[in-house]
Amino acid sequence: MAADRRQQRKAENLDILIGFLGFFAIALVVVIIAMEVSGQNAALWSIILLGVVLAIWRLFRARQKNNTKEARGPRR
Amino acid sequence: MTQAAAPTATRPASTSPHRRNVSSRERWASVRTYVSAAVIVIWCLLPAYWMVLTAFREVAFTYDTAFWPTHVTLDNFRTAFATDTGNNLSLALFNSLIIGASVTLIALVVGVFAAYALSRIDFPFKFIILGFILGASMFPGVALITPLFQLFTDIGWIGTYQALIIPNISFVLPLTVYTLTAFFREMPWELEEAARIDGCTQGQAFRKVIMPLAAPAVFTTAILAFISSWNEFLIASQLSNDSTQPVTVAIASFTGSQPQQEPYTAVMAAGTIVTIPLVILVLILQKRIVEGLTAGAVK
Repeated sequence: MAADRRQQRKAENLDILIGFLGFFAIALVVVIIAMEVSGQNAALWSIILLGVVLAIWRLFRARQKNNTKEARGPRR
Repeated sequence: MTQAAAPTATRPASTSPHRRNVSSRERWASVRTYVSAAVIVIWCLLPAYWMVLTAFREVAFTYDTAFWPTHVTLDNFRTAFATDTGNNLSLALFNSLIIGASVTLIALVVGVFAAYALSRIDFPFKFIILGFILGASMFPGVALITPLFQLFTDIGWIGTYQALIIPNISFVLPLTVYTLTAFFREMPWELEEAARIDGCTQGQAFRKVIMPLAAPAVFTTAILAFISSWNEFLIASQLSNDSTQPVTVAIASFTGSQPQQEPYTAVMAAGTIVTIPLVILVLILQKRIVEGLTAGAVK
């Protein structure tokens, strides 16, 4: 029961982190598009966006792993 | 005839060296607690005390460093409210009250429903939405000033109440949703289920069972939202005009009796007046705030 609750909490925290980073990823996409359209150098922002996207991808992987564990149920 | 048994020879506990050590340690712990609390209280209240002290000081003694009231006068309060020097504090107070009340009301109405949905209704990616809201709350306000100014100039909203209320709601709403979601999640589901079994619809259960129980958290959130809106300066300094400016902007644009003179004493008097509504609000709702802050801490 406690293990289930812990798994659920972990899944919720992962979701919150994904959403948090997702917001900044969208903001960065808007910044990069604006810079590209206005002819400014957007290399640094692109690298930051890449980092954020990689972090989101890692979190998605962790979320999937956590969901699989949750579906399998607690270890006996 | 039986005689009462003689009391057993026990050594008084207070004389035990171990006990004496424990009680002395406890005494020191409580002294440490009180000293730390006193330091924190002094640290927090000293600027406020200095503000009140300067507010009651004559202009000629603005830079007096005495820690007690000297050269006391009420002229600074008169200057703060004097319209002939352009310091229209009463109008600014009224504006702040309208903006703060509107922001708090709208943010609470929207926030309560959003928080209830996020904590009680199962739909995919709801925690991702919560994370999104958290991200939005951390977005720097200064980055929004230029686009907001452009937008509101285009639609003719500069210097209107809605131009000050709508951006403020976007700053306060994430705080409201996040705080209330955390509270609703800790509330027992069984209460709502019991109301449903007794014949309530979901709306009635929300209105008659959940809302009265959530009152402390709602009050706490309302106060936090009001304080946040009351103290907002950045957006208001750009989007308001003389007739809609809130107190924060009005105080910043105070003028002295001489050119190039910064009217510190009048500013301090205005600061003291501005703090009063918040202090009254917190004192009236103190019990509710404490209940709201500790709600869900112990299950």
